[in-house]
Amino acid sequence: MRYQIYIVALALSSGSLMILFSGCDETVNPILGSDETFSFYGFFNPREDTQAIRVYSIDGILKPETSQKLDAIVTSKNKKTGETVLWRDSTIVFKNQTVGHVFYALFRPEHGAEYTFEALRSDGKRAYLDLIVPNDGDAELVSILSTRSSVIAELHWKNVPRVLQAIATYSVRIPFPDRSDTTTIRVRIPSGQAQQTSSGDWKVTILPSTDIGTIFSTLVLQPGTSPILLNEIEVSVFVVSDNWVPPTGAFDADLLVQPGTFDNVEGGFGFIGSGYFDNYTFELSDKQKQDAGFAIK
Amino acid sequence: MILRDRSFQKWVWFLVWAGLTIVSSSPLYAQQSLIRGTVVALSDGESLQGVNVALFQGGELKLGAVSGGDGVYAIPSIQAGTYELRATFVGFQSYSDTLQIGPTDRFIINITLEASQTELGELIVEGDEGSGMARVLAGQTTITPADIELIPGPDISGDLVNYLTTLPGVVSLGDRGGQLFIRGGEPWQNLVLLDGMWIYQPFHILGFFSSFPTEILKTVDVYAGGYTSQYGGRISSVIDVKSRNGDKKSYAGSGSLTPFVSGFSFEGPIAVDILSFLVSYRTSVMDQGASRIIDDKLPFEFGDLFIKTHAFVSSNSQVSLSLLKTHDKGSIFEGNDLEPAEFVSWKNASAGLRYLVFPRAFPVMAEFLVSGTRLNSSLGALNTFPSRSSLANANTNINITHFNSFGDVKWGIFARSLKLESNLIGQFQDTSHRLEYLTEVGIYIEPEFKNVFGWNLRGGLRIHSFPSKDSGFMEPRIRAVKVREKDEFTVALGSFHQEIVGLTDRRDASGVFTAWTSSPNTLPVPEALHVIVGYRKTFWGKFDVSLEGYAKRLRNLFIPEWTAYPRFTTKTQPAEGRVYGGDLRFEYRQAPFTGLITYGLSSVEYTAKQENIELWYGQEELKFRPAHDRRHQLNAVVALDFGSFDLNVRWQFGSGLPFSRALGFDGFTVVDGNLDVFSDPGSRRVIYERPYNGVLPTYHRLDITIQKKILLPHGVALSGMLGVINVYDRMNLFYLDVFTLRRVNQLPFVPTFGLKMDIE
Repeated sequence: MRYQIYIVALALSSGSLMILFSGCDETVNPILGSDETFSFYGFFNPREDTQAIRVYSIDGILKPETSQKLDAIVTSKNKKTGETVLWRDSTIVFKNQTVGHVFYALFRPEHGAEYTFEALRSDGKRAYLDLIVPNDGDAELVSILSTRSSVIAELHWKNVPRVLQAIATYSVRIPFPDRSDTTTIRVRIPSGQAQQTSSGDWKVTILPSTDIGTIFSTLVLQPGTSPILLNEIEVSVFVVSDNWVPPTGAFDADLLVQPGTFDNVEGGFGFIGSGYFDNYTFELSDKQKQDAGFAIK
Repeated sequence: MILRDRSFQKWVWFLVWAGLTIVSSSPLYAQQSLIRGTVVALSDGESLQGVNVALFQGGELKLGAVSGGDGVYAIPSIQAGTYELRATFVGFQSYSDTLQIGPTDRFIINITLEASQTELGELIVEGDEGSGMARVLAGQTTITPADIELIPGPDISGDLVNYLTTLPGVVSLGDRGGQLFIRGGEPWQNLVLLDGMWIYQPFHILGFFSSFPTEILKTVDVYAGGYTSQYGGRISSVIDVKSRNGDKKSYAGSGSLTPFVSGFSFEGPIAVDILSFLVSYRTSVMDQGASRIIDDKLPFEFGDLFIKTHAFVSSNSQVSLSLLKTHDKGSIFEGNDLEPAEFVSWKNASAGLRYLVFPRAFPVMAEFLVSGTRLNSSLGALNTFPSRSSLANANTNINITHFNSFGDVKWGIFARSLKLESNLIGQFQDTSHRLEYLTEVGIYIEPEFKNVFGWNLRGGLRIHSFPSKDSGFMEPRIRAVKVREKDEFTVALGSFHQEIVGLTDRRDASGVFTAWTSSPNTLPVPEALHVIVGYRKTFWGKFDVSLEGYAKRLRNLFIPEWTAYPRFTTKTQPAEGRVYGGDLRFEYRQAPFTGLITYGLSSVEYTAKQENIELWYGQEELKFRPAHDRRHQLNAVVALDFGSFDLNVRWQFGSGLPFSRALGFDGFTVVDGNLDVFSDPGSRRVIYERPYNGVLPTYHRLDITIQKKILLPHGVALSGMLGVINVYDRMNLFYLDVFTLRRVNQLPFVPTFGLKMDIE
């Protein structure tokens, strides 16, 4: 009798739990959704006739992109003239076999002009941003300091908002083994030294006496055994819009991957800047070439 | 407290001096006698723990002791005279002997107890009054096989891990993976010992099974915090598993079969009353069994082998040799559109030699332990080079117990050598290939002081050092118990450090691969401070209620760095944590009914200190609830023993665990200069909300098993079990793939059955 009481009590309790909970199915949705629509990456280049921007839609599920046309009407508008350009969607298959959408347009942005770039979704939601194309700056070779084994060339770019990168390309001649003739080679070396001066100019410092070591190692030549003759030095700087600067000054992908860290898009994420390469070419005198370690003849 | 080499040496000498002072001032060295010995059962020669051994004079109780884990007891400080020595234990006939004790005698008296039956012929079940769900002592719970058998599970013999998950404060993330979080700590912060051997992956990949079959268990002491100075190297908890010795009288064996595992055990004397062996083997049979019953993929394989020999070498010494081998393999992360399925595997192998002696020349008990462990783990997708981690260690311990009237003094020295090697691919950036050799040495002392204003105090100081890393730690600890007639108060405090840490990808529950490595030289070692306060009361001799509160401060932790890349990178970031909680336990035992209710309330908060946090969230550090912070836990267990059959019911409830929600998914490219969008593929990206801001659904499940045992001739017993795991088919979440929204549930309604044959 006592046992039966226990069994009945247990059965009632278990049955109650079953009835109480069997209908419960707590679904969980880990995706909250977002009003943001698109993410953009790229830049306007006033020195090119074709502009291209990578566009991602912001989705509720993580899936590889497909070649299906994006639900986006992408335009850019010159705020001063009102001229609007319609961009076209292109599907790119990258080397790693992933697919992406790159929107492109055939036009050349004007130096100093302000543009609005926008992607509009069919439900009326949009992502957009404003950007200013940097001016066409002026480059000047300010000085070349030259002593034995130390040659420093200083160039200034005026009237530009920011210089992001500087690359020195050395055009050099390497004699044939029989010294009957020479062959010309161009060696690119990131300079990395661009600083803003107090007057607002951007100073780029080139160090031919240091870079010659890189030239020797790039060409797999031994200093002292094979002469290198210098033709000219072309300095290319990447001039960019003023807002093209990451929060800590360094382009650290692990830091910048966090949405909102380096963004200038309204209604979305990502960054579109504006920039162009500007070049200045100069030659060293024979003494300067010798001081830097190059051969004269 | 962190020590440098010279400080370490100073503190070691201080400890030695303190120990010698305490011991030499002991009345033991005065004109007093000592009785030591071992208590075993007549039926099988197994040592008995919890036996009351007392000296009576003229019918009056004079002195007494309780036998410990190896059946060892000691009664010190005996004045010369004639005494009656009595040993009593529930379920056994009392033992009695008359002793004539001189002023400086040192007796070794080994006692054999015979099981008793009542006048009605009803077999009294052997019990251990020290165990029981509600008998928690400042975080310490003692578990016996009888406790484990109360909990329904898919194995006919029950399993330790199913009992552990009924303890408040013990969080399991699911029925696969084998990871236990104890009072806010992470799995790699738990120390698990089997007969003194360090076991690094103690639970099988299917979460219903531990590496310790119930057949081999004698007792399991679980310290959820505040543990004594003989344990170290971990900052969260200790699970100290002691195995049986094997029957020294006659051969016995068992074989069992269920849809999940099959196995056998066999034991017997090699030399009667002197040398015995015990063998246990289990292997999963899910392919042939459970996978055909339930509509769920169970891509798991596991097994374990345990072998032990034990011998009473002489009247005052015993030696045992234990060996454990386990293997596990399976797939927990089943892959998504971006990543293939991952397979994890590990193999444990441990061996240990233990020698216990009462030296006739010294009034102490000495234990010598030598053990070695090897763990190899791997994680990776099919046809790819996996991440690997391997660990090998060799331990030597000497533990000495001095028996005094004011309390025992335990002290010990230990040395450990480790080889840690890991080769980590992909998600474990910052580590790649690493090979380390480490040595740890240390000493501890643990004096006990009885009846200090009604409290039994056990102080402790543990000092250990890693000479190769020029680091050392001093860890003071104290445990205090005040026992009154019907209730008791307990307090424990302690400091803990952990030099060897485990790296896991803890972004979701599917992360079970652990790479063991030493903490970086440039960063402080993880440490913890525990405080526990408890109260227990017994009503009417059968109803126990206990209430315990605890707090932990955790420093110098390593947690996965946050990133918006979906599973591509997991560097670690520093963090700190704090844990507050309380347990409430009720236990009622009145044959045939046993009822247990446990409730745990806990709050775990981590503070992340990743460098980028200020930039991302506008504050220097970010507080969050980690993925194992289960606020509320409730377990209700009912066991009915009708003699001819047993009915076991368990209902468990847990509040939802935190997880990180996403706002959406897009892509990312670093616009760092002359970017060519036609050739740079970029990466997919997750737009996360603030970390761990979401809460998963609650978890609850009802399990029922019924078991019947039939006695057959020639010492054969046949048991059959029928049961259901998850009676109302609750879809409990195991993990949610945030990227693909794919949900993996824990086991659904699972009918289970089992057959077991015991032969004696």
